[in-house]
Amino acid sequence: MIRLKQLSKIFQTSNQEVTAVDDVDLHIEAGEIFGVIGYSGAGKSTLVRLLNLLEAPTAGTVEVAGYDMQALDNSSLREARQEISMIFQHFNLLWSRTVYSNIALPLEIAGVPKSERKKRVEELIQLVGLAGREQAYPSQLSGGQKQRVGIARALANRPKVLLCDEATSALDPKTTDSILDLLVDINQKLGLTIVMITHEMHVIRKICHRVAVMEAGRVVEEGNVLQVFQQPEQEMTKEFVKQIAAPDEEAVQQVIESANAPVMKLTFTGTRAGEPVVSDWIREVQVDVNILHGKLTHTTEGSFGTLYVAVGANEDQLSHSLSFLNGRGVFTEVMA
Amino acid sequence: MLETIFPNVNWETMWEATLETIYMTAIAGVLTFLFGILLGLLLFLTSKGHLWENKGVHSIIAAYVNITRSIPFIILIILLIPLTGIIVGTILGPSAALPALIVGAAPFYARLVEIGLREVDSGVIEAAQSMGARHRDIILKVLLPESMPALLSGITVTSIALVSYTAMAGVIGAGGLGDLAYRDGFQRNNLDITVTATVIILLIVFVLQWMGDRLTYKFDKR
Repeated sequence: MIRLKQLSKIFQTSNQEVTAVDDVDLHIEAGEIFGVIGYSGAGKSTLVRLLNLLEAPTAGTVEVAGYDMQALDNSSLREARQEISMIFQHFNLLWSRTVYSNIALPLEIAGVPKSERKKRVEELIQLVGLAGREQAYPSQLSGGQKQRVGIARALANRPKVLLCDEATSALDPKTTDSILDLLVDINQKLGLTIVMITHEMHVIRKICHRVAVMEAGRVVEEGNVLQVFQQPEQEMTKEFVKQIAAPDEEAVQQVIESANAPVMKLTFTGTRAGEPVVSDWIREVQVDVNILHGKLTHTTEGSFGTLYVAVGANEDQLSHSLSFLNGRGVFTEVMA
Repeated sequence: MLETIFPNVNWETMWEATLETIYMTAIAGVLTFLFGILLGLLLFLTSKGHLWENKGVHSIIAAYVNITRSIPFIILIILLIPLTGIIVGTILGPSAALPALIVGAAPFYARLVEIGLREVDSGVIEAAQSMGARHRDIILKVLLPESMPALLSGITVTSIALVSYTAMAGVIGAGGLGDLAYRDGFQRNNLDITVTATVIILLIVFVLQWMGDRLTYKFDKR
């Protein structure tokens, strides 16, 4: 659906060149939710704007939804953009228009007749859960509701690709989750390809299938979300993974020192969600387990994280435990 | 009663002058609104980083705006007498004042329009572009509606300036309250005429400000 080849963007300022995107190759499949993560200034926002040519590439090629974007003339580019819509961190709604007419705007631009517009806007309002707020102005809405209007507006012309530029970064955690659920719902219902630009690992692990990690304009690591979580190769990626899946070391050290039984470290690397590994283990080996510390997280493809437990067990039980847990795909080691 | 306090005021003349002032302000106001928005849009769109970025065109328009804004209005009227003769066909009466009023006020309003357009969130313009909007759509559906409160409060300020410009237009025999206050009031030493004309001008200004505020408030959904 999206294919980038050796894509670069250099900004020329008065006294220097700034390379915002540096030789990026990416291939995003149709129907995929693809995450791009990086700290601010990594070039993610520029990258996403290269996809709909809001920024013109300095070098390389952009192919989206079957269009060779750079080959399009102005009017075909405008038509192509109706298939590649975008939502924004600060929503970018028109405050002068109601919810209803904000959603109608892209339809007006596409020249959809009025009666059809009405039907489509009503459908979209239902889809994003804003029924009853049609006549409200953006200033009367909460952040989450504003982003729902943004999403409805982006979906109006039935696009093939949805670009999300930090779409949840201005929202509180609870609202973020509800917007992410809506995006997953749309992805499944409409088969829409979604590109999520974010600096929040939480967003990646919650809804993305694949992820690219950006640093200084380059994609330094790319792959299946679970695989990147399990075996982060780059320092940058490790830092991001740590944010959600690694307990902080000081706390762990304290816990180990104060424990009066052997401490085991259980590393979950994509165990199928909902599988009761720990209770199976307790039943099987007949040990007392005291959970000391841990950080577990769920991705679209399984649980992932670390758990520290104190185990009241003898040597035999310990080795039995090790073989049982490792057999169930939980990497286990005895710490102390 | 009126006779004793305002012995020299001819109410019929006063009413006529009031209508002339209102006529000049209204016509010049509407045309200033249109030309000012046009000029302001050009100033904004040709400036750096905007849709029609063009240094050459921008400097020409900016120079025109700055020059006409710097010339004192009373001198502008005299300079424009030949042009007025060509456009209006006469250089006397309220209509003759219109070209000078518009030429004087439109650049002033254009700057206010430009400021208003700069206040439009660039993210909203970007959003419209990401939807595949034509420049026409961006101007008519985004820029102008989103800057409407600024455009309205700007035209309010400009119309009030126009009221005082009409008074100066008396120089070319434009008529109106200012002219009346100067000729019949000041030059013939009839204080009551000057005071009455001033009070009516004040009333016009108050009404304009009140209407402007109401309109601005109505359009402001932020």
